[in-house]
Amino acid sequence: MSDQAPSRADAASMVASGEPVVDAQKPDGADLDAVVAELTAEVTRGRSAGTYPASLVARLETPFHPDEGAEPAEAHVRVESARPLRSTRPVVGGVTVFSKRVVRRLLSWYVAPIAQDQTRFNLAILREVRDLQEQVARLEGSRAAAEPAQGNEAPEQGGS
Amino acid sequence: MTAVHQLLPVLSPGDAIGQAVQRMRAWLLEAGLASEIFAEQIHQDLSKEARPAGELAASIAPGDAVLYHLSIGARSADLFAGLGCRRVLVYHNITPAAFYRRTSPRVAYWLEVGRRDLARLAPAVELGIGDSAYNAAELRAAGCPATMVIPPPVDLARLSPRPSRPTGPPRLIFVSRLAPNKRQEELIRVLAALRACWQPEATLVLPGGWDDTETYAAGLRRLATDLGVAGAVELPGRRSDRELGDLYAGATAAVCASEHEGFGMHLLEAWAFDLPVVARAAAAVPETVGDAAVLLDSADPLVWGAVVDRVIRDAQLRRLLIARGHRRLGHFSEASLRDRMTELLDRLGLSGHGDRRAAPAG
Repeated sequence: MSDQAPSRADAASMVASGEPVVDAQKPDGADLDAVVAELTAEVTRGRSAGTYPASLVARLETPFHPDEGAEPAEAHVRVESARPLRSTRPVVGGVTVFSKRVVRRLLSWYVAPIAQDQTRFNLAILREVRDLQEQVARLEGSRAAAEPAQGNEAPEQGGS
Repeated sequence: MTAVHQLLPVLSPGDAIGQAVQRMRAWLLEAGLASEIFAEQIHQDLSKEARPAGELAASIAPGDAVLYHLSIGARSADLFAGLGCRRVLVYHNITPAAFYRRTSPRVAYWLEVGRRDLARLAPAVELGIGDSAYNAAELRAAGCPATMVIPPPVDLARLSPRPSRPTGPPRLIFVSRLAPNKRQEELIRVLAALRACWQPEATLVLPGGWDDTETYAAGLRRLATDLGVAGAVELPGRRSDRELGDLYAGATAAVCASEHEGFGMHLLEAWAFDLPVVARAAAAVPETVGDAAVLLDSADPLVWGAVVDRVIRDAQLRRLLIARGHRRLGHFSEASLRDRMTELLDRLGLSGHGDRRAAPAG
């Protein structure tokens, strides 16, 4: 923020006191903090007055869990050496797709074994990960079974 | 001739750090110093611009200096740590790994390595360069004995800047890779609020790649559907410079909800297209924008919606923001940055060490 600009707190108090949000002292016009303070106050008033539908307010708070619904690793284990070939371009598209098919067929002796090796490796790693997952779950289960006895003990006295 | 070389993990076109490295090399050559770029991975389009990192150690003499560009963990940090010459750390900031732990564990791992590299390299170098005061402060906190700020060189011409001429409904834009610290999900909430209360036809375009963040990108699409704005949110992926220019030119306002931003090149790009900017006051963003953007501390999408609506409708406010944006761009001009590079050479005691006859014309 510029050195001359009032703090956000100052701007908020200007709005509360009804002072104009355009700072006449500034050569090029509006005080942006004051604009924000004015609109924040407006939204706060609107929330209190029920201006915004409850359904909208609830919808805007929809949780964001980017990792939710992600496919399990098993879905990505298999490496495909041939992807679907298509084109939406008329005439040229058909020629392009045909050419790519020919190239793919010619190189398949080289590409396919690499994809198979990678798939085998992915499967091996995934198997190990799942084994580890089971071991961790078993260990956590054993620890949880042992914990209630400790939980009955009095907590240590802390300072202050 | 004294040499000032640069080392970085990856040199690729269209990448802000790659552009900075190339501009710095041009300046160093102009100053008459020898200067080469060394990288672990070099994009094939730039194969003539750089040499493999493994060749660096054999290319330096004791009086030479090496600038290491740190933005993520990399093996080249070990190489840099072992060099027997003068060393300078250029810090572009490292996103806290916590942002990526759930969506991209691989990225989170390398970010953690990067933080460890910062902790061991910062106290060991002669000078640290931050591309913002925010980054320089992190360098000092990590034990760097001396720091200075050199904003990244800006190449806006590649986008063919022109005043934006949006046709149709208001269109918001934020250009950045899709990443959890960029908080694109907050912008989708803002759009939902804006459409529900003020601008029912508004749209949002979020150009940017999602390498390593596919899960996050899929989450954004799901959120847009859940909020009922799927048809108004566009995720076109990584675009060419020409296409990005066209997207900026068709936008009404630029928005940025980033929680962690080491500089914010997209803010400068928006000003170059006469776009008013509304941004979250976080990390280096307040420092980069100065008084040329509406800054929000709040994460409330309704407050954001009200502010964005005001910026869209209030012509006087738009003009003010555009004018301030133009003025702010001056802080990052070629001349201003050239002064900083001169200061760098002064601080390294290398002014006048170059052979100016070797400088390219222009």
